[in-house]
Amino acid sequence: MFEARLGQATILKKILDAIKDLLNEGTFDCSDSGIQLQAMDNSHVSLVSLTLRSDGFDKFRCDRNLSMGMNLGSMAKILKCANNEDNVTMKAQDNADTVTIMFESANQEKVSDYEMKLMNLDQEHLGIPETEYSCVVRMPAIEFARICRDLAQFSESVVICCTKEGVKFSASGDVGTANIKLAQTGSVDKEEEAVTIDMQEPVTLTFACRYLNAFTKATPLSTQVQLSMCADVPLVVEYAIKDLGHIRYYLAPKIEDNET
Amino acid sequence: MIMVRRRARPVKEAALVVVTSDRVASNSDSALALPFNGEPISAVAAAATNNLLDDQYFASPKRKDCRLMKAHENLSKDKNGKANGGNSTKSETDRIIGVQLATRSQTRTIENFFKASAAAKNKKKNGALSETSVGKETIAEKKTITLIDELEVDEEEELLLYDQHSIASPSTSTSSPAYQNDDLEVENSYDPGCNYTPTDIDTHIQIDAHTQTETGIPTDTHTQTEQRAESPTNTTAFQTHRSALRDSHSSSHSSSSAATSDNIFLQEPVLTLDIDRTPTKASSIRINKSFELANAVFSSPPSVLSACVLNGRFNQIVTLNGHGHGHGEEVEHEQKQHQMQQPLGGYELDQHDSSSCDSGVACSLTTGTSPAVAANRRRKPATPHRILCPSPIKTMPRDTALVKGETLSPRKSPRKLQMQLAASGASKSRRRLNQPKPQAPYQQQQQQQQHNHISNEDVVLVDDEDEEDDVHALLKAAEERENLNKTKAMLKSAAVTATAAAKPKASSTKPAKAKTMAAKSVPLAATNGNREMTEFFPVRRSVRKTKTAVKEEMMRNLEQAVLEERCDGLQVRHFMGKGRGVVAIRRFKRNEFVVEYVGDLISISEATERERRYALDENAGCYMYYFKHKNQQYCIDATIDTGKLGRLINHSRNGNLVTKVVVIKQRPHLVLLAKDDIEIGEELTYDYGDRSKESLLHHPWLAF
Repeated sequence: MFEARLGQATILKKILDAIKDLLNEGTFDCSDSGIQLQAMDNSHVSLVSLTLRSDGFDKFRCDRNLSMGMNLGSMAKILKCANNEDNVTMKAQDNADTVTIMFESANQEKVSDYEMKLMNLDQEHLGIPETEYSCVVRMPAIEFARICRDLAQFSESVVICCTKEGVKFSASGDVGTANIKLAQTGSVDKEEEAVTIDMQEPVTLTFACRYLNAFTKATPLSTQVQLSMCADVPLVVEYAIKDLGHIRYYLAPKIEDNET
Repeated sequence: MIMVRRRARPVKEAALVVVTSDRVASNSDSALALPFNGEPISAVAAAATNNLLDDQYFASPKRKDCRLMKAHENLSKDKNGKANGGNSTKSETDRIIGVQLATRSQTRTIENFFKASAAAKNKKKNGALSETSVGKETIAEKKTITLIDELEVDEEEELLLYDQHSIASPSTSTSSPAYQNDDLEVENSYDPGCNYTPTDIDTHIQIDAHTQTETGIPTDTHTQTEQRAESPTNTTAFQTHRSALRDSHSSSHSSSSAATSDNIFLQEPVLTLDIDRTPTKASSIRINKSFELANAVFSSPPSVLSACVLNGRFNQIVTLNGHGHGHGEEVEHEQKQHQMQQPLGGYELDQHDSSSCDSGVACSLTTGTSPAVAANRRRKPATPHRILCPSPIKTMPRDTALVKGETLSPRKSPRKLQMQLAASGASKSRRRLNQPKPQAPYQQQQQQQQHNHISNEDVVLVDDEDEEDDVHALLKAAEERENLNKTKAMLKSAAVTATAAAKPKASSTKPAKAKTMAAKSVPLAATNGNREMTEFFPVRRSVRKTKTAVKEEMMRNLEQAVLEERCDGLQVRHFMGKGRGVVAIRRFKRNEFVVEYVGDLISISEATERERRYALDENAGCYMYYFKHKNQQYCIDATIDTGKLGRLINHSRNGNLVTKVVVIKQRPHLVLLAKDDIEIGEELTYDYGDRSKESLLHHPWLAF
């Protein structure tokens, strides 16, 4: 028996919105410690890793480890049926092929439940090694989303160059070139607007804008985004979900083309 | 089972169960292994695997698209390279195919519209151009489309043709221009050495017969074509091809001028195949028979063909099928006379080209139709009448085809050998297309497109799993290019093969270099310049094994240990009061093989006999190990000192070893396994299992 109850459906909505563009389907691995999802997109270029800790839920029960393969589009559709303030409960039996998602309005007057068929997904699970990243940039999530959006107009790939002074996003295409430089903020009143750079050694990496833009769909989940970079290692874009867990996107760097 | 040492001795019952089950397992293992060993020898088995491969290949609709595309591109390439008189007509056929591709997923009406317009164009061409150009056109069409034709269906048609002989003959004997076209087509399309060309003609004849007899009843036909339209893309291509051909014929046919109307319902039937009435199996069998018959009856030379009676056509069929390539050469010569302008060698090459990536390699396939039928039936058992488009490769048991061709042809033409090589090469390349890796198809595709080549037999195939490596891709590219060159050279000078072999080697370096860039850029296209996640993070796979797998593995290890008489990590040492004993000089893990109890395996009667003898000898000691295996009592007698260590291990009632029976080659062996983890220096002991009073009296140490 698996049962997880969240106070606000809006969080789950946002989570689904954050991943459904990249992934068509995914397996929610439920265990005693929480819910995890790890999946690559179709092109195997990016990886989504979602962790929801059990203590972040209002109620969490998972007697046996359970893998629920879901069509994320369908899941998102179901969640659209919920009001933002509704309680949401996910329920599944131990060897069930369906999951029940139940929405209760705040005053318990309206209860709606939706049953969704589960899928048996044969997905590869990747072992993500612990990595010491040479650059870790924390910046406002909205700022990052904007940068990605803006640079995507110039080129399909963006170069992220991180030095002691700051982080530079640049793109060059047929139109011209675009450079956005962010300096580390000295002392700020609001923590969510801070740009902090934790750098061991400077890094310059190239990434596909398309995927970065897909990642920024998670912006509503968090005020800050953390970019972790290391040469020849996938970029990690992490959005923390307050009190619940985090969503991490991994993006493989572009192939360095020396000839061109 | 009870293992008895000396007299009676209890051993766990489970051991036997394990052993027997394992025996079964090993037996079945060997049984499974056998066909694989036999495969290279048995042509049939090879064909079977071939079929399987092709089935896999065809399982994916995407691949099919690729094939079509390739055929298309191939053709356009040829067109550029050859620059002969038939250019314009070829481009037209090109277009037809392109249309096919584009409208594949759309409704039938649009398709038919295109078909009709294409047919109209054809008709125009027919009218304007000379007879020879018509022939060219048909060959161009053939090249692209007949490749995809279904052999099986053709044969069914053929069968039908025989049935309808009487109906058809009055109409055919008029020697209308349509039939002259037919003849030309026969000659031209012989080029690739295609077996099915004659059968194609049959369909034409049959169609003609139908136009004569059933022109007014198109509805029937349409239902059939519709059915075909539902079946995979190839079929639609096939359909168009048929209709186009038909139109080209019917345009010259006075009675069927209505066929070129744009309204599909006013068109005459595309095809009326009464396939339903002839079950697939029966037809395939009977066809072969009819070949033989026809061969015997009609034996006029193919030059009479232009006289164009049905008999003549039959004869052609026969000669193509029966005599294979010997007559084919003649036909080819004739064709040369008819159409001087065509660089024939080039055409041949083209045919091979397209065939290597498509389905055109029917060259040497004369009798290998029944596997195809079988394969087809396997794939779509419910609808035998549906026209599928298998690759002739599938239908061809490679080895038999080769042999067959050699025996049938009066002389071994190097060209024919070439074709066979091409055929086998093509099937290889097909195999290479079967790639699970996401990157591989890109490389493959590109290479195929660049030179849809004749791969020779000497293609050194790079393993599939290395496919994604750029280095390998390069290697292969170079090889393929080399092969292409080689075959070209061979075609030019078939006699001087040695020089031909030398030539491409010299020339191969340059194309290989040129290929470098292309091959390198391929993965870029695959993921749009991005690297893949799997390059960085390893895919986690469970290393857990099932219980049976573990057991099997253990039994394998035991067997191996016994076979190599393993006895490492043991040392003989003298013990006070006990004599010799064995100690471990390395650690043994639980259930690990320690040593075998080696001796003579004897029956129980023999054992009693020997025991009586040994009883006379004071120093004989106890080395008779009695045990029961599969309800039969055995004894291993190790009394004679062989220097083996198994016999020297001493007794202890709670020893650190257990015995186990392992059957190897139907002979039970006794092995001693570690009951627990054994440390270095520990003496190895096991329970002799003898509890009888008499034994205790003689050997008081048995009590310990």
